[in-house]
Amino acid sequence: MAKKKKPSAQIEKFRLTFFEECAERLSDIETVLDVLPNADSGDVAEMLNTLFRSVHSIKGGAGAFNFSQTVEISHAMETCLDLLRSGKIQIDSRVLDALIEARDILADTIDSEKAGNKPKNENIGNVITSLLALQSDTGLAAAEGKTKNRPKENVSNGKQKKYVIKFNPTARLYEAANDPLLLVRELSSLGDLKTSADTNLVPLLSKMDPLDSYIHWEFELIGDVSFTDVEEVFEFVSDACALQIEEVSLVSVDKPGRSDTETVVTSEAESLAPAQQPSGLSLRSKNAPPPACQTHERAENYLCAR
Amino acid sequence: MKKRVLVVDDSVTMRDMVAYTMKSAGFTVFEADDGLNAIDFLDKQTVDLVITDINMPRLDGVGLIEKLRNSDINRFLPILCLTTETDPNLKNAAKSAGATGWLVKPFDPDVLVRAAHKVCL
Repeated sequence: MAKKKKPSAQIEKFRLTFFEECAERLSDIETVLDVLPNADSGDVAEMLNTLFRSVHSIKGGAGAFNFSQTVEISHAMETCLDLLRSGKIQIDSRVLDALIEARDILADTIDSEKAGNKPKNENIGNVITSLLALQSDTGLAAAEGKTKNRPKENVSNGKQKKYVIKFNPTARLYEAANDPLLLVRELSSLGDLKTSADTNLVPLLSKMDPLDSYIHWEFELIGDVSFTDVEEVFEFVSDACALQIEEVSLVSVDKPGRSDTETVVTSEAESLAPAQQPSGLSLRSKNAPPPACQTHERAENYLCAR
Repeated sequence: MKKRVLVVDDSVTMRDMVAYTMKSAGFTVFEADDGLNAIDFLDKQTVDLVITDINMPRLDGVGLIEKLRNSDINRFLPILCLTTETDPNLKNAAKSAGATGWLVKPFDPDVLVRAAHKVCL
């Protein structure tokens, strides 16, 4: 079908753009690494920033196409450059040699990806080991390992659950352009929602600061959703509000349809929810692992969802 | 009426991919390759949403957010950060500057579009 072909052509176009951008970035990296050893101390910080941005862009694009080895090398280079930028390690011949070797291997790996060949694992492994050795000197590798072993989040188990959510936004929430209506809309997409607003703190108009926050909210949500699903609704505003999410026992749920009680979410928010959401919406957790796909199928899967 | 979004990223690959995703979702898309060019654009035109990278030359994402939050016109403009950065310190810096939300690359188009709707009235 024509609809299926269009993303493939589009993906190919993105791939070509990516490889062109890689060539420019690799050239920048080479130029900066050449002059870095003899650079004036005042120029070093910006040179390290340039190196970091170049590697960072390669990593970002490679991730979209599932070029995992390119991502691994650029991530290791990025870590090394970050240690240099923060002064945790110093520029010396060992560090420079590791970065120059990494740049060359990164270029080879990208060439292999471009030609559709499998990159040579042994070279990649060696260069990553060299870069990680610099990191382990600072004791950071062990710490990073610990954070990667965090337990998995709880997930929905197919049973209806009830949550009581108390949400008191601060002025900071509005200053960052967030809006409670959007959160109500998001919550209502998760199940049956009852909303009540506590307006007791709203002052007289003459005493009101238009940029302050006065309304507190309480929500009751019933749905087949995990605690994490509910928490994620507030992920952008968690430090701009007082938030309490409590899972309470659900005595009985006769039917999973929407309740008709008076305090059901306002008709405005309710009508916005389905209309504004894209079809085929995935509710995959933000921390869930990406789907395992072949090279550049991942990017295509992303775009086929359109 | 179509929502208008400004995509700010120094990587042309990433700008192309984000622009394609947002256009496919019905947004009108504008692009800038760093924070200063984004500011120049927003001095002349209005948008409903900014999606910005963090690591950029001249003016980075955090600097862009700070400038927009201190402007009269764009003070309440929703700003989503879309970055490969996972550093919590940088995330906090962006949040403190007034970022509306934060997404990590490589991005899932559905998640990006959903986040855009989440912060865009």
